[in-house]
Amino acid sequence: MHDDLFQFLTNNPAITAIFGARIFHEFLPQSNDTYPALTFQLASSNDTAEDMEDNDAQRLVEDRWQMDVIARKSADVINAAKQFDSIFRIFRGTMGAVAVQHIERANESHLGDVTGDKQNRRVSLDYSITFAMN
Amino acid sequence: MAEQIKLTGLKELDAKLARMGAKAGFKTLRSAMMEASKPMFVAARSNAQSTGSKGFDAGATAAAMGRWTKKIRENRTVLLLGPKNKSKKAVSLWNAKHGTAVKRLNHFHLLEFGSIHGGAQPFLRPAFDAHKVSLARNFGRILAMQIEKAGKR
Repeated sequence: MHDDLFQFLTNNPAITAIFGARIFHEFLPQSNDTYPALTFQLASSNDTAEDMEDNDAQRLVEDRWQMDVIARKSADVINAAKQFDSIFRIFRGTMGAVAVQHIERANESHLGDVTGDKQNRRVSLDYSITFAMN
Repeated sequence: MAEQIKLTGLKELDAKLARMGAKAGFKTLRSAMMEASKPMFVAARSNAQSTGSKGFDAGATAAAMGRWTKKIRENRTVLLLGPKNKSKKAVSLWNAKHGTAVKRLNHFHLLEFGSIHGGAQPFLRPAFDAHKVSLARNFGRILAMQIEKAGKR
């Protein structure tokens, strides 16, 4: 799922219109000085039980991905997070080799970080992504 | 860090609890909530232990893990699960490891959600996601057992 998700995020024109190439796994590189930026990482993953009566049934997996939208100003980060959410949450279909069945926003937290004399605003969004696995 | 499970549809058990009276009813409900949430709590503490084993917090997060109930209103009781920032054992582990003399630990949200320069090491969300369905499924049965148990006393 990780590679498929990364490909989706970096190749979706609506998402790159918000973040450009500033989409990173886990955390922001210290060299990054342009905002808004997006970081993503897996927070949890759970498989559903297999259907015992159907040998051809696909196994469903529910992953929780933490997506952090980061910017310098509060208004910028909230605006970027809203835009991203409106694009990402409605997605259904194929993401690389994965058939996404459902995306739901499971949590939203507003967080902040201070690095030296610079403040960063962060909107942390959790998405529960349900997809089929062969 | 405020994931919630709201259970409805247990009207019969609710009525039985009400008949037990406020004090006994609350005690029974609390016992059921504690028992039903135990697998989630054990998983969260185990996750926190593996976070601590990375060396930075010397097991303080796992030691701080706790759960407690709170009666918010006459007909509303919640169970909270997570690290307690004033846990004596956790604070003492932290101070021994880092040579500090802090009185409370305020870094748990950084482990759960990370920061812009450090990835998250979630310990609560995986436990919540893994056990939310079984908790909701088992709660009614556990509450019924606790009511029966209280009735025999």
